[in-house]
Amino acid sequence: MVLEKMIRKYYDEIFLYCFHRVGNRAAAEDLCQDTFVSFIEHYAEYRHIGRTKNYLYTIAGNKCKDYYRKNKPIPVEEFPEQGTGECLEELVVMRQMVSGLPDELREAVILRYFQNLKYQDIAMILGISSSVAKYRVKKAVERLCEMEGGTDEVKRERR
Amino acid sequence: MELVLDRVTKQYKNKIAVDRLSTTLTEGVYGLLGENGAGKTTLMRLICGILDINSGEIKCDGEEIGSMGERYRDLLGYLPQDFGYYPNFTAMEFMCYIASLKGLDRNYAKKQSRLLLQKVGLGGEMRHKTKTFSGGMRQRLGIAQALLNDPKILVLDEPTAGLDPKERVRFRNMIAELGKDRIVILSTHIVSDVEEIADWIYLMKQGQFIAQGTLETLREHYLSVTRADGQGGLDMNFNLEKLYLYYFSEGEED
Amino acid sequence: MRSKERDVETKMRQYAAVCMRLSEEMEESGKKERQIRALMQIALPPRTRGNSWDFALDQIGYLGRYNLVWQVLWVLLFWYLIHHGIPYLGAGERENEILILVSLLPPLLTLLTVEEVTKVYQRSMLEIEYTTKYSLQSVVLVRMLAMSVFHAGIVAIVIFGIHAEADSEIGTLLVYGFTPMILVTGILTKCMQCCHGEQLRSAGIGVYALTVVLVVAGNTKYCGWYQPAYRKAWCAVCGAGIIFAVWQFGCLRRKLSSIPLHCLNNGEKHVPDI
Repeated sequence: MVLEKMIRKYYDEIFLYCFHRVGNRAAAEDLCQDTFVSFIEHYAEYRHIGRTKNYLYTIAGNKCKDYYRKNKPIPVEEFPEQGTGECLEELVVMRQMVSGLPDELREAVILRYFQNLKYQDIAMILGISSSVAKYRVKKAVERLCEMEGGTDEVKRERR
Repeated sequence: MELVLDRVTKQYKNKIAVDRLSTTLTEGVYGLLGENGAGKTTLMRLICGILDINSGEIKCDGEEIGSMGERYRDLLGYLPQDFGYYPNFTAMEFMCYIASLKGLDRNYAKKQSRLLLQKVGLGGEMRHKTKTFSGGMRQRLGIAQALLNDPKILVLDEPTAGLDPKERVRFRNMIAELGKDRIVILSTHIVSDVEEIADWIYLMKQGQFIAQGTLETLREHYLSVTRADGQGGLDMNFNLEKLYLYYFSEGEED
Repeated sequence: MRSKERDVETKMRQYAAVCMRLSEEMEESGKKERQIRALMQIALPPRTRGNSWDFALDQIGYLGRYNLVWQVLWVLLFWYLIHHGIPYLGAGERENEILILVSLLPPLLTLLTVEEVTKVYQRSMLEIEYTTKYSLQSVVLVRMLAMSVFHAGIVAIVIFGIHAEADSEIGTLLVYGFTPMILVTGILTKCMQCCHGEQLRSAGIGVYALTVVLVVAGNTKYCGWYQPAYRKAWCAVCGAGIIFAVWQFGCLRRKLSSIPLHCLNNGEKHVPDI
């Protein structure tokens, strides 16, 4: 069944995307499910819009935006238990910094580095041009470097 | 959905049971009133395709029902007057057997059976053998089985026989609900049943419709008829019973 | 700065990789499967109608269990008689004895079929069974076919089973075995169109008695159609029998497509009995 195959193919990816956007696993599960429900309900009409994957990302993105409006984004509480303590701490810090980015940039960075999408796809999903997409990602990385620089200083100060 | 009866006639050796009946039925509740022997049951059997028509035809959405065969029966739900049953089946087993005859998917059948048995108030008796059922319970079982395949044409012959007043009210509500998007034909002696829920009423005598219409039109008809007969002027307390008695007591007056 | 950027990028990718664990957990806990199934429920409305196979299998499931008992007994009887024989049967010749038994025993199974099938339209008859998608016709047809085929299988198997003991060829045994059975089936299918219950049972016994007489007569010098010379005739009769039985099947089916008048017993008190 074509529909079932598609759902199975992209389910994990969309779930992770929702998780990265809202930072909460339970909410991510619900949003992911809602995304697919929307997808099924509009399946007949969607054909013209382009690649299924990007369409799913767009729906998911909108669902996540609606979620913010209703709930303040909860900082990441859960973290998958993996790796050693030190690594984990670094990554948590990274995560928090990403949360600190302005929405536009954060969206772009999640799609690029967490979901590993190409600029073309990112552009289509966000409704911008490829060059704007590249620009946002670059800008985001710069910001993150600055932020990290700041924490490095804090670390140095601690010592 | 449209059911058209076109000069439908059914004749036994020396008696005409149904005499050139013509009418068109669409979604709603139709009441058939008349005495025994008026031809109500025969008409219902003809609509269900159990009896062969001698002349005339019955068409469902333009197609003659004889040629539709299985497809027509798939749309039908029928509750006959003397509802037979298999004594050693439990209510649930019976529903599942009928569901299998109706060509329903097994899982769907189980769910529907459970749902319908609860709807008619037999939820607690699902695992009891039907031979232990009272008349009213059997009647309710009959109603439940008629609804299994979600029929678009529901034919009920004396459905409230044996039901107590509370059950009768529950039944009426169920039928009124069902009549919203399907054709429900119900025949009865009990005038109040029909009065409450029928959108269109037929009075039947000796195989013919002697009067038909909404309750309102029949009221006017009654008033005009009684005025013509000189039986008195405006009768503000019209009810269907009076009309019924007017027509069906005629024989006695002679 | 380049290395710093690369460092940031690497960390983000690492983070993403670690997070994949979350989706694995969802899969392991079974939640993913449940969610997807829920989605499919929305996408595909549940099936309300089954197919003809489902109906046929259901009907076969409703056949009486005791039939199996009778069938097993029949097989045992067959085996016993073949090995122990009946005195004076076949005029003392083993071969004849076998042929007679092979002809006489299969029709008994037909009597079983008829008994089982008539139950459906002769007991407390349900009017509603004429109004369902698979009406009474289909029910009778499925049951009759299923039982006949099953019996044919049993007969074929036992004949193959005793083949070693008999001198005759397997073809001969099969023809002698099936012909009476098919003829009896055809005749009884005709009877099913005309009578029910006790009458039908009597008809069945009568037809079987006739079969016995004909078979036994076939082994005497007066009639002798069990003589080898008649083998070809037997094949012809078998073929004709099959055509006859199938034709009667069709007639029975057509008869069941509308309700028999004797079953209309209510409401129309003014309608004369027909």
